[in-house]
Amino acid sequence: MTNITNSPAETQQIAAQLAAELQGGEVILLNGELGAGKTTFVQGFVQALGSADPVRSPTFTIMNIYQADHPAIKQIIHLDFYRLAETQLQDLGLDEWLGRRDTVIIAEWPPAGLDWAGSRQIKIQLSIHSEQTRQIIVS
Amino acid sequence: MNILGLETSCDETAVALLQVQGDNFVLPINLVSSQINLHQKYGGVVPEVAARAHVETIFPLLQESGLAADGSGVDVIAVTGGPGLLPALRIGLETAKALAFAWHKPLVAVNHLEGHIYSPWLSAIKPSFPALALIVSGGHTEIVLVKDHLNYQIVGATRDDAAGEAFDKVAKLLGLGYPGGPAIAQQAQLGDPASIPFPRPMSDSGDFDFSFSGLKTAVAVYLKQHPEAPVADVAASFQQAAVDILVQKTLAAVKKFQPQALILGGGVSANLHLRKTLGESLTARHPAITYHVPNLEFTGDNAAMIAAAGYFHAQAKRFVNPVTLIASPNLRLK
Repeated sequence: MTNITNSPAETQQIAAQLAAELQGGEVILLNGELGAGKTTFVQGFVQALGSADPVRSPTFTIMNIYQADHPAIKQIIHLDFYRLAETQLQDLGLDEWLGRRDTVIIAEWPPAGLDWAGSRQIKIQLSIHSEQTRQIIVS
Repeated sequence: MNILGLETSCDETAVALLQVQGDNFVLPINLVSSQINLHQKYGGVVPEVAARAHVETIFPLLQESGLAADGSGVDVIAVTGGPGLLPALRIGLETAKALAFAWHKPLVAVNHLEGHIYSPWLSAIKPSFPALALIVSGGHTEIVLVKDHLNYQIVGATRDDAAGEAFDKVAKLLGLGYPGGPAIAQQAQLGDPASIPFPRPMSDSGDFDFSFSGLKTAVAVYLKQHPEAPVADVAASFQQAAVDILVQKTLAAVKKFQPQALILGGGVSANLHLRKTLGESLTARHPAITYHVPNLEFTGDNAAMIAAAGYFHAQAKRFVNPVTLIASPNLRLK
């Protein structure tokens, strides 16, 4: 499914629509160039799952954890692989969260070939069209 | 009092021994892994970011430090308890716990941001309270009101990217390599800071929060529209926008909270343009408020600042139990 958004708020709406369809245990893989709106997308996504936690870029911190307020989903794990070249998920202490039905993982810059332990994966591709316009492909 | 400091919350593995006598802070030991070619000396590859790196580095660093194997000469052990990546934090924490347990030494847990706030105590002139601190690094952008020792209130923070992250990502967009902070600063010297009117996000928001994601995006979009733009001009204009917004918000907080001292800390405090502009703006408007910037060696992550903050924890007898202490990846300053 391809969407065109004309503002950060519209990008967050697409993220909220995706969040509404989740059952828990999913892994969202976010790809897109610098400035395409990945953090904006995550902000809309986390807010839609009932979290009041501030969503900041985990580029340096690698992982942020937000508490959700949702019937099935209790926490959201926000990952960023931007600075990580060769990584195994165990190095990040993810064992604790992978495969849990009360957790969703949303990962920026995920490298190909990571073992997400059988979790359902949803791929999001964002790109810059013009100053305000973004294309978002959900697959 | 002699404080052994350990820091492993992010990329750096660091060990320091701080001797405090009155107002005199001396560092007989101050080692940071990236400053020593450990993997050449001890063999093996040290990956850039992974708990593995801390595991492989912390004992060689302790050995390199020349610290007595029985812990003599250490009165207190101070370790970063958070925030940070859990597997990375654990390495420093478990090492500190084991040493405290084996040596029968008291242990204190320090917040990483607290370390940056205390980095000016490693210099001769110490800040007075209340103090206001701007902490800017790859992972943090916070304005903190420090009412007294160990008494913090966060009054402003980034809502998306940290300032240092924006420097790194703009450097990437400009093809300048990593780490981006020094690369941008170097290019900026050759460019015209007024050539491109990048936005100053949230300058009218009326609070002390920041948004650096919007500034980064403005640079990304500008480069798409102007692929031939001179790199030096883009770097200079971006740096000016970032420094302007940091200085503007910090001085607005100074005006509101009327501190005795202003502290600048964190990796981005190595940026000379920021150090100079913030200091000059403070002196022009509030000449009575003192300005404290750490020496360049204490701007990035280090264990000396953890030991300095740890000293004040020990003074306040805020010791922790080595048996029950656990890492806190989301630790907040309060």
